[in-house]
This record gives sequence, structure tokens and C-alpha cells, in this order.
Amino acid sequence: MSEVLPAIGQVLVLVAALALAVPFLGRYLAHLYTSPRHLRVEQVLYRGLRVDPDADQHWRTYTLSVLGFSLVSILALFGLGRLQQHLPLSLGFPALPADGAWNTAVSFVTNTNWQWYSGEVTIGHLMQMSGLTVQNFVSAAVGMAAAAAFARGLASTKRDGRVGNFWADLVRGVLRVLLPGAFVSALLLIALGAIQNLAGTSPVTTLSGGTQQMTGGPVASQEAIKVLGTNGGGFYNVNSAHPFENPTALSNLLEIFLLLVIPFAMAWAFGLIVRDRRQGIAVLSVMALLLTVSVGLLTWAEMAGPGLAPAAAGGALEGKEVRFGPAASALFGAATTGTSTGAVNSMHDSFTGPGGGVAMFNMMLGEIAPGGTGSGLYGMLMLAIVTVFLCGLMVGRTPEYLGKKIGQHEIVLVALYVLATPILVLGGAAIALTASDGLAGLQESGPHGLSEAVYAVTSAANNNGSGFGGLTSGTPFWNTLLGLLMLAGRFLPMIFVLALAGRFATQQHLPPSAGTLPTHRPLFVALLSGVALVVVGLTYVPVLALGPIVESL
Amino acid sequence: MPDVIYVLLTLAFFALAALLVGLLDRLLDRRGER
Repeated sequence: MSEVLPAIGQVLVLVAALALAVPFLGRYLAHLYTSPRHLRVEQVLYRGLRVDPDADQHWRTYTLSVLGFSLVSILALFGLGRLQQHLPLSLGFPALPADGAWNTAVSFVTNTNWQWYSGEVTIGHLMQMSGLTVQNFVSAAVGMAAAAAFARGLASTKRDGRVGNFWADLVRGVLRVLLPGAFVSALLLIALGAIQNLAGTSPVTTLSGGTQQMTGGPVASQEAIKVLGTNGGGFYNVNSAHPFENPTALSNLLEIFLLLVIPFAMAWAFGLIVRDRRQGIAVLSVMALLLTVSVGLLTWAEMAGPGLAPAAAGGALEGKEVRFGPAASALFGAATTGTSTGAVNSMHDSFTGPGGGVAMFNMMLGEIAPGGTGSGLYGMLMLAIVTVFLCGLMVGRTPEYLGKKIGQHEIVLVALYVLATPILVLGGAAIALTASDGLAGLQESGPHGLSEAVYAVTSAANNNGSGFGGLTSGTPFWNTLLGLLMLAGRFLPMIFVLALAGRFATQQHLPPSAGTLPTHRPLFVALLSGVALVVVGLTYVPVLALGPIVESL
Repeated sequence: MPDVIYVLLTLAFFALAALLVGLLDRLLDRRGER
């Protein structure tokens, strides 16, 4: 009982904090992505970039801007990694190997933040600050921009296929949301004990009299945007399990709040952008419902799940920080895989069978509960369109969503979106499990070994970035395979989303009729939740059955 | 040499992605005219 009450208490505090912050931030985001006014500093940036922020871009131009910006970002970050030994503040670290530098560049530009390396012994301060942290900001802003473009496409009545301006969305997301949010969050984390300096490596004497090398650095500033932008790449190898990154139970709760607040607020903002707040609340409700179920299941699995050792210890404690315990580790685990964050405060490889399965299922849902910054919202909206389409088929009426018809072309784009990630995950797993280089990276055989491989490709293709552990991924094979999955998993779905946004923006707005399915009521919330679970279930149950499910038996 | 391969791989991916954008744009425009 004494362990259950704090577990429930931390969830109640989190829910209260989110309930206070999300409507406020949602209103701010809606204004941000619809206002024609620019700040002076933004105008200077636009002049420097030689872009016209008032040009309403066709979806094609918008998407090509996203792709062009991301291509340049990857090449620049790849160069930084390959030239690291020549850079100041490199701490004496050598250049990253070619496959590792490419994997890291792709990983941070796609908001995945998969890390094949141990940060504290591989990445110097300059690359950390001017490369990785910069990408933490802009990759999160790119996701938010795509979601805003989709919402504006749905709300558009101009019938011209235009969805906004990518450069304005990008700059505003960084300057008006992520930078101030990360600055305040970093100060809070420092106040709670996270470190922030430019120190190198220092030897310390341990309690047992041994010597350990401790690396200092700009940790709090990296940590703040790592969670706020649902990035996940830690300064240290053990990520948020390290006391310099996440010192106390309170900082742990703050980090969980930060990684959930923007994805939920984007749903609120969506309702305001389409001028029907109830639509945003319905989407947010589905996200909250799915997250609640996964938090409950994961907490049960880690506090009272199967296994003799957990029963004897009063919880599954292997791979967990004792200052957090099973409940706070489970809450963090559900939140980090429900969003596209991938930060960890415990080792997911050590979760119980059902616990690891829940974390994996969260990612397989497409990270929609509540998902990444922006990507969670557009992922959920694509499933909302599937739901409307299925309901339309059942009652024999032309399906429509928010006054836009879901015809053949629209549903083809949605189908491509829904199919893209599972094809990448299952295809990637098949390649990894049939190639000798892939199998060589696995620590375990049998169901747990399968879980290690499937978790890695799921994490990469869904742009989560969390590692199950047990997989030696810093090899040319794994770096290249996972890099390709991250690229395709980020940009293919985004292309389909923006194409659909453009398609909606060419349609006239239909007023609701007697045959229109209300999409703001509890019935739709239940239908959408069911569709999300069924679509994912049908796709992934076989591989889950062979991995975590059989391991739980 | 590996550097060149990874740069080319990146360029190839984005070239294909841009082609996909162009293809979707043409298909959607053509279908929209019907």
C-alpha cells in the first residue's frame, strides 16, 4: 500500500500540472501558427535566410522546404561528426566513424535521437551544443510545423492547396516556444541539481576507494530541450537514469511533464485552428485514454508483474534507479514511448515481459498517445480519418472530416501513411534477423533476442530513439540499417501528411448534414481508440506474440 | 571513401523523396481535375 499511494500521487500531480498548462499553451500555439505578425528578431532572420515569411506556400513547396532544410542539416551534422578532432572543446575525442557520424546526423535531424555511442566518451562539447542541441530545437519545430500545416489545410476554405509558410513555422516554433521553454526548464533542472558547465573529465574517488572519470558539460540545457522537444538523446549513455541529468524524483516528474506538454497542447491548438475546440478535446481525449491505459499496464507490470525476483523484491528493480523505483520508472517509460522521446530513466531491457511489450506497443501505435511534437497530432488525425472512413462505409454515406470529403485520393494517402511505418519496421526486422551482421549485434537468443531486434527497428522507424538495451548497435550494419529506417520513417509519413493537407486545402468546406458523423463526442473517442488498437494489433500481434508475449508466459 | 558513400546515400534518399512529392503533386492535380 505504501508503494501504491506515491505511484498514484505522482500521476495525479502530473495530470493536474498538464490540465493547467495544456489549454494555456494550446491557445498560444494556435495563435502562433495562425498569426500574420512577425517579431523583429524573426524579420532579421528571414532577411538573412532570404525567405518571404508571408508567402503562403503550396503543399509541394512546403514539403520541399522541409526536405531541403533537413538535407542540409544532415550534411552539416555529418561534417561536424567527421571533423570533431579538429574542433575546439572536443575534449580530445576523435572523429566519429563514417557510419556512426551518419547515423547520429540522421538520428538527431529526424527527432529520433537514437544513440549508438556513449555520449560522455564520444561527443565533445562543441558538437553537443552547436550540432546535437541545435537539432533538438529545429527537428522538434519541423514536426510542429508539419502538424500546423495539416491543421491549416483542414481549416482552409481558399481552395488553393496552400498550407502556410514552412520558414515562418520553423522560426516561430524555435524562437517563441522551444527556446523560452527550454531556457526556463534548464534553470529549473539546475535548481533541482542537474549540472551545467564546460568542464572536461575529472577523476573522482568512489566510496570503495576506486577512481572513476566523471565528465561534466552543458547537461541541463541539453536535458531541457531533450524532453521538451521529445528528442531523447542524453548527454550521458544512461540518459535520464544519470544523476547529473535527472537528480531527484521531482526532476523526474518535471521531465515527464515536459515531454508530454507540447504534444497534448498541439491537440488543443488543433481544435482552435479548425475553429471547433471540441475537435481538439476529442483528439486529446483519445491520446490521454491510450496513455492512461499504457501507464496503468506498465506500472502494474513493473510493480506486481510476473517473475520470482520481482515478487521477492516487491517490484522489478533490475535496471532501475532506486531513487525512482518501479512506479516512477514505469511512468517515465510509458511517457517516453508514448511520445517520440526515447529518453530513458531505466533500462527497458530489464522490464518484465509484459512491461517491455507495453513500451514496444506504445511505439508501434505510431506514437500517437500523445506522440512527438507535432508528429503525434498528425498521426492521430490520420487515424481519425481512417475511423471516419470506416464509419462512412458502415452506414453507406460519403465520409467527411471537419467539412472535408474523404474520397478515393484522400484515403489512398492515409493508407500509404498507415502502411509506411509497419512496412519499415517489419521489413527492417526481417533484414536484421536474417543477416549475420544483424544477428551478431544481439546479446540474447530466443524471444528476448527477437525483442531486442524488433524494439530497435521499431524505435528507429517510429523516430522514438529509445534503446531496449542488449543490442550492440554501433556497427556499420546496424548504423546504416537504423539510419535508413529513421530517414524513411520520418519523411515518408510526413510527405503523405502534407500531401493530404494540400488536398484538403483544395476542397471547399461542406456544412455538416444529418449524415455527418459527429467527431467531437465520446462515441467517436471510443471508435478512434478502438481503430488505433485494431490497426496496430492486426499489424504487429504476430511479432509481439513471438517476442514479449511468449516471454511473459 | 565511406564518407562519399554516406553523402551519396543521403542525397539519393532526398532525391527520391523529392520525386515522390512531385509524383503525388501530379497525381493529385490530375485527379482533382476530373
